[in-house]
Amino acid sequence: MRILVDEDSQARAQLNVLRCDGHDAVAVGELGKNGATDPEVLNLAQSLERVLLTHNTEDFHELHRARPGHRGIMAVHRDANPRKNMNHGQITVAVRRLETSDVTIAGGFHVLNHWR
Amino acid sequence: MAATTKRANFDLSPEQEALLANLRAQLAASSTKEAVLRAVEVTTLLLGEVQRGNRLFVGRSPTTAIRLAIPELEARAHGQWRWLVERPHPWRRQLWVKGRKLLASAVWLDALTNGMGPSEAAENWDLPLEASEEIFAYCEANKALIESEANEERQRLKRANVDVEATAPA
Repeated sequence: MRILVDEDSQARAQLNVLRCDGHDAVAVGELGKNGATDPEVLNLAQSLERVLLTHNTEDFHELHRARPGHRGIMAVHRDANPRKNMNHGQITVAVRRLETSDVTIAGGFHVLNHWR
Repeated sequence: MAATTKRANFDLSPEQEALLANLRAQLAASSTKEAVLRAVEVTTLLLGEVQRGNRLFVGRSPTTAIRLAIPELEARAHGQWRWLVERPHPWRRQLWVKGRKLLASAVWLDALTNGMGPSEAAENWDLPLEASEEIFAYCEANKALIESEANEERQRLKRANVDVEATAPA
């Protein structure tokens, strides 16, 4: 999958695991766009024709509702309890499960916690 | 004296008006203005204590007192942070990594979730070690705020019909 990884998700280890699983993942920071606003990040994903991976679930859900014509948003909700959270490997597995499902990714808002 | 006073005008929703009326009644204040000013004094006093590094406790005796974490106050107790800053957000109050659109808790929780410490987190997020250590210290000191914001996000999503705890269709 062609993925744009948001600034809040671009841990080096996360990028490595995604790439090892065969995804074409590029991070906002690698494009020199650290500090970009959420609308700018969504525009960037759209112009690069990439699905966005973010942990900023609520803000991007609002953007999704306001501007639905995007390539797809994969959001991971981060709990305050680390034991409840998805680690880098689990996020990558969830991306793969979503990709190989019958669900249409483009234009959709996908909570990856559902696919763990 | 009258020449130095200013009239403050602002709009109130019915709910906000009811809150002020309740506060005035609870404080037995002679006017809404007096109630607001007394609330300001109390808030300023608490904020000063938190900014001096003190913790607030409530209870009937010192042995049974529990810590009182008020997110709005905890988020303001950041005078000692060098790598963390405030950033405008509709409801989040925790601090962000300076120069980045990155919540302090994003780095901290990512590290804890993946079994990493401050030095690995620094490498993972391209941050100086000092910044990473500060993020850990800030988040450890503001767990209640971080937890309340995670809960707030979950509730907001739920109100928008997004249940993060649901399961994907088989």
